Amino acid sequence: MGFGLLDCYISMEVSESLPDSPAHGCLADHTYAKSWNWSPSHILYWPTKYLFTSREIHIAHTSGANEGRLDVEMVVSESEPPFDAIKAETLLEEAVKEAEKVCCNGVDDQDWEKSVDQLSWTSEQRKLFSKVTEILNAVYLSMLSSKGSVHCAAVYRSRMDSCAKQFCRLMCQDSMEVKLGGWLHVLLMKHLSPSYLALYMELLQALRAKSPGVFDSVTSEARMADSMMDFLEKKPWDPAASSLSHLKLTKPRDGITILFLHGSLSKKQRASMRMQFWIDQLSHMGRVIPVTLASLDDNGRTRSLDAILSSLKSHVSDAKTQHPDKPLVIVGWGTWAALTSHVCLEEAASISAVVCLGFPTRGIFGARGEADDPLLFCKVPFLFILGSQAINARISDIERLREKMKCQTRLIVLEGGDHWLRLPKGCKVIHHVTQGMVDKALMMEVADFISLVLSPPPDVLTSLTMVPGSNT
Amino acid sequence: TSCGVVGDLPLEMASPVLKWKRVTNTTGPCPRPRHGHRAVAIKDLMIVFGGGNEGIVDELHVYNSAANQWFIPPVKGDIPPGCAAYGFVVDGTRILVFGGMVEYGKYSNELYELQASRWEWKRLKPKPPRNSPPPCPRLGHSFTLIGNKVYLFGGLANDSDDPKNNIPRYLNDLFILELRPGSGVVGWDQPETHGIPPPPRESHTGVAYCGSDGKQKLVIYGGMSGCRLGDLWILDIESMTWSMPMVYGIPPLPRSLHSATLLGPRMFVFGGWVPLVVDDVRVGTHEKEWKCTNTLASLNLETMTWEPLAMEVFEESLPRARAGHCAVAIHSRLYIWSGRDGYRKAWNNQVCCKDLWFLETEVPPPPTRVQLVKASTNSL
Repeated sequence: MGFGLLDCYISMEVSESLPDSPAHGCLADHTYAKSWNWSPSHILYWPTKYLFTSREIHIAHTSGANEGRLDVEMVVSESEPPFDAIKAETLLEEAVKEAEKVCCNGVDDQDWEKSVDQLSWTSEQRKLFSKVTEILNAVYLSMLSSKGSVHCAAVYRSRMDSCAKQFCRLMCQDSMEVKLGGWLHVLLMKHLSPSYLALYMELLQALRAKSPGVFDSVTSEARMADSMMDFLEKKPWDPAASSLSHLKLTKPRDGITILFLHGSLSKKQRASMRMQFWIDQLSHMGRVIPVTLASLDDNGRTRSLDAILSSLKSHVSDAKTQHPDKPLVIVGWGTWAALTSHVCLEEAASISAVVCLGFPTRGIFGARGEADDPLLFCKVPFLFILGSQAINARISDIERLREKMKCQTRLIVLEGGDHWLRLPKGCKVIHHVTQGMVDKALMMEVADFISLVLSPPPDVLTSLTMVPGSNT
Repeated sequence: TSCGVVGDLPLEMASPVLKWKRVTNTTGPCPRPRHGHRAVAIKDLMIVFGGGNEGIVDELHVYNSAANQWFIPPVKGDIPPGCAAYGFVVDGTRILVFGGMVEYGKYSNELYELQASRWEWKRLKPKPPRNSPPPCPRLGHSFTLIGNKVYLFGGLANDSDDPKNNIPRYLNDLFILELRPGSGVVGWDQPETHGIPPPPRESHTGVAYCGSDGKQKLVIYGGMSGCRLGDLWILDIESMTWSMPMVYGIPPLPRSLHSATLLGPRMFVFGGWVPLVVDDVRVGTHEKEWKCTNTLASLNLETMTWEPLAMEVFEESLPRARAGHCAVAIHSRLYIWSGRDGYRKAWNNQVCCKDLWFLETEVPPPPTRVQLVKASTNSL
């Protein structure tokens, strides 16, 4: 079964009567009724499921006397985070320890800004310095405000990532001289107080993982201590990393082959960290064959749709001939997902299921689902996972499309997610999650879908068509 | 000889001889498997109503344990909509139905009466209590008959009107529904109680017990309030005082959606959701995962002791783990039927158990001639 620690973060799926989340036991226990969006007219159309919707469970104290009064005595217990909070704490402190080793200027957290002599600076230098201190102050304050909470590690991670993004943007401005970055780095290394230096190091660590080029240009001027370099070269820590890899996806009985279509464009470009995480995790379910656009386009000649499609088809048939006994599942991101429908038409017999991670509901020829759209002729079960804030897809469009499709379809909506199924910082902070946890939750949905599709249809399927009470 | 109390009892009193038996070869139309249904017993009959699985059931099914036969009585009158996790009590041959889930996210606070002698339904509109509104719509409450009054306790309310957006609220309010003899009700009453009431909960059980001292008691056990509960509360009916009695013996795991059935002085607790016990102490203290169980526990309400059970334990001689099943006592037997067997799912349907079992709690004496004659003349 695919439930574990992460489930406590997946809000009760309001639209689905299937109990996936024991943490929301009180509602998942009572799955007697058909769900509100159940439609008797379409048996293939599974109710939409929403992930990471926000809600709270109110425990009523109906003694009456304390109604309308604010209870300040009762300690509201925080829900347990889906990671080891103690371990996350040590990860958090790693940078602090490292910084204390390096830092010997003895300045206070409040005073370090004053200790910088700005007299001889140019206006660009001043501007840059004030912006960077703004970023560092913001993350410092957020760290202080979330301190003591069991979720602080996850919140801190999200904030740090967003600060690294801001810092990167600042460093990549058009007006920015390359030299200034180096100057700033040397200055900060000299003047930052230990706690701020720890934050700055974490920021650099995150920056290095995301954009190594920017990192190199910033740090090239100064020589750093080896221990510090070691720290910076590490992967940014994720509080839930160990519990995420501990939580295995359900493996179908005979194993499966997964054709994983992700977005890397050239051969040289490695799969991004996130895609690598997906590949690693999905490989628990069976053999994963990553397919990039580059590998479809061997000679670098043409990237016409026909060429890509025929190449994709040959990948499908290759995978099928290599493992004829294993069901083949295609997992595709974004536009790739849209391409799979063409392949499904011709290779329907060899494909067991299709998972679309993000799906553009509109192409250059207008909305999907017009009369001759190959999607409408697919007979392979489809799982769509969409972000509710995706720029290239609308939930209403995909629902309309699903009604017209002649195969089993399932839709999972990531509340607040974008077209790459990323949650914005605000959402992550509210739910106390990192993107890794969100991805894992999505993967568990994928795994559930695949195991459902691959399990032989039981006799209950026939009872589904019956209207309750009609057999009396 | 202070320590010899249990030892002095006859052997079968201290450890009742218990044996599960699966009922096979039933005749008549077998009801569809489900969970959240309820059952009551009238003589040899087990009357099952409601529940659901991907659709709430509005059927009434009756199992005749003497004839080993299911049948569907022809009902008339104000037939209620189907409901699940509702309150179900029997008083003589009339049955009362209160509350429960009627649609996705929609709970009821309606009261229906079924006259089992005529199979006639009637919707009742009891007066609200003098100083308070009537009980709010709810599910998973306990509804227990003591004397001529039904005691409604706790349950789960939905604070949202939008079915998409369920806002659950656990309750711990107590209402009394006074019955008129024969048919109809006097009305609701919200009594004043003393002592500390049990904390809010749902899917707990309520059992009426009359002690050897003649005192009537309402026994509330287990339930759910975000985590599964294993506490036991007693409302003394005479003084309307809540208390948390001292309980001896080894208690079973905390649970909800179990059944608790009184047979003699013993409350038999079967099945339900229990926390998954993990050996690792640090993980185990935080209740994160639950499973269904098929364990049986027996609380002797006279001695307030969880008694060890001597049972025949073979793989196939035990019912599968389940929750949301129904249980009734017919003579010395405890019958259970259907229920859900965990979070197992196939396609988009939850699979429920379709088996009927009974637990023999006493070795029946060899039938005498008189009993045999009685059985044929006295059947309902």
